[in-house]
Amino acid sequence: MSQNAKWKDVYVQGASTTKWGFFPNDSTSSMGSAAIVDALKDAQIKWGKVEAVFAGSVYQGTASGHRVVGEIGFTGIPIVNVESACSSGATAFRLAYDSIRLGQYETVLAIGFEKMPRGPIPSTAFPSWQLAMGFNVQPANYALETMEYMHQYGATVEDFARVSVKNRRNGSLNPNARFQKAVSTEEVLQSAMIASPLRLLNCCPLADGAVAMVLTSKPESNRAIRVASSVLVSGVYGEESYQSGITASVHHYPSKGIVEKSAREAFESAGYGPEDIDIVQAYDSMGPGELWDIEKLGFCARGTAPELLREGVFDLTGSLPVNTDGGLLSRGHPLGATALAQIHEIVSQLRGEAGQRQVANPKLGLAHAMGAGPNSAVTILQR
Amino acid sequence: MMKIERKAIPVMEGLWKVEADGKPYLIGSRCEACGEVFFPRKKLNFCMQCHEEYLEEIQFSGEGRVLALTKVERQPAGGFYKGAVPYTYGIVQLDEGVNICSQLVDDPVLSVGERVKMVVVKLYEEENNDVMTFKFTAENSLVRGEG
Repeated sequence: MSQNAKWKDVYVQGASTTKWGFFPNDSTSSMGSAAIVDALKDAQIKWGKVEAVFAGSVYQGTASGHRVVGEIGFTGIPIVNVESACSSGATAFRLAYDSIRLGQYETVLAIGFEKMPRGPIPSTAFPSWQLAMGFNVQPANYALETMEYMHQYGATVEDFARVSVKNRRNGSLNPNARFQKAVSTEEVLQSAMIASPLRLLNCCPLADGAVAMVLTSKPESNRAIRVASSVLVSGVYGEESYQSGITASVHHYPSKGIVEKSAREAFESAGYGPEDIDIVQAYDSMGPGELWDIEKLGFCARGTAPELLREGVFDLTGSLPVNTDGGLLSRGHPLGATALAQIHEIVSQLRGEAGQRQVANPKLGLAHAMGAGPNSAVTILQR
Repeated sequence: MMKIERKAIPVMEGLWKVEADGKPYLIGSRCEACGEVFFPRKKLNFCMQCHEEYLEEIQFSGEGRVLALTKVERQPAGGFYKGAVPYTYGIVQLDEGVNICSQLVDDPVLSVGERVKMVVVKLYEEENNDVMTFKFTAENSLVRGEG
């Protein structure tokens, strides 16, 4: 995937997020439209300049993006609704990015919004017989991957608790996070068992909210952030994907898995490598996942992330801060909006506008989201 | 009054069969072109690995080992699952070389790497039917299949 000389540079000119939480009195259209208005203000452009909208959500039903945009006012532009489970927001972002990069439009909007059902998520990403057998429990599916990770690399439940401790500490500095209270290792290890070995505080909370982003090829502000690459990989034959009920092929395991492939394509397209990245939003729907995600993205060797976490490498003051906004574990997980919320945090950090959790002088940031299907979306942004 | 007889029905047709001697086995597909093995049996004659149309139906011996397992402590959302909670499920690698997701009979307690065998047991009751499923249990388990 090499760069084409005719492709245009793409920038995030405006970005806005609502708070994340449980908002029974708000609708997706009210939250989504509020995010759009704020993103337009942040970008200092008028609604009439927007030429297309790409809208990511999972549980909002038919024409969900149209309902959001309808609150702003229809202007005859195309509204494309996108669903790719927990990577929907990044997929909307990728379509928006491509539409500008390839010269179709000059200014477009990528939005993500969700109003979550209460309790665990009723996934439809499984065949009916697997649903009948109870295989659609996401903490349990991550628990299977966690068991393999423990077995292969000797990681412990204390290692996984430290991910929650770090991310909840970061989240305590994020006024938009659903959970803004730090937790201790002991609290994580004593929380209720959900699917062994995963406990309640190893699992992300769900959340409602919305995020909007203005992308353009003609940035009119020095706060604009360049999109270095945006990649979606949907499935690699032979690899296990427990969150989609897929087991590994014994005879034909792929040389590169879905995360590795998406990261490699994103780095190649951006012209940078893992060593150039200053901040990361990794996929921490379950705490242990953050560790193997950092490894699969290429930031360290397999099995070494727990040790680097202990040494503080992934802290706000470390050499590679990970999930600076508190990640899914603190911010919360609004499925269709999550991946755009990750990108929003990278934009805030690169602009130097992340407040108390601001990392010192980052220039390149990477966001990674997984989605049932499976999907793996990697976005690299540059100041 | 006639007594209505309880019927045992599978959670899904075509996952397993029972031999004349009462021993159950899982049904799958194998690609004659590339050797890939699938469970459940693929209805479409198209290999997802090599994309050729050389699939044949095969039967598995119903023995393997545990690769990973977890005990689910809460009722799954969506109302799809009507079995008992808590329940244990995991990944079993069958001796024929395919990994499958299966519920596990966790008594005696199973661990990673352990040899397991297939049994057919009740998943839940529905009106006058016993809805049956395959599960895997320790080789020395006393759990007896009903199907």
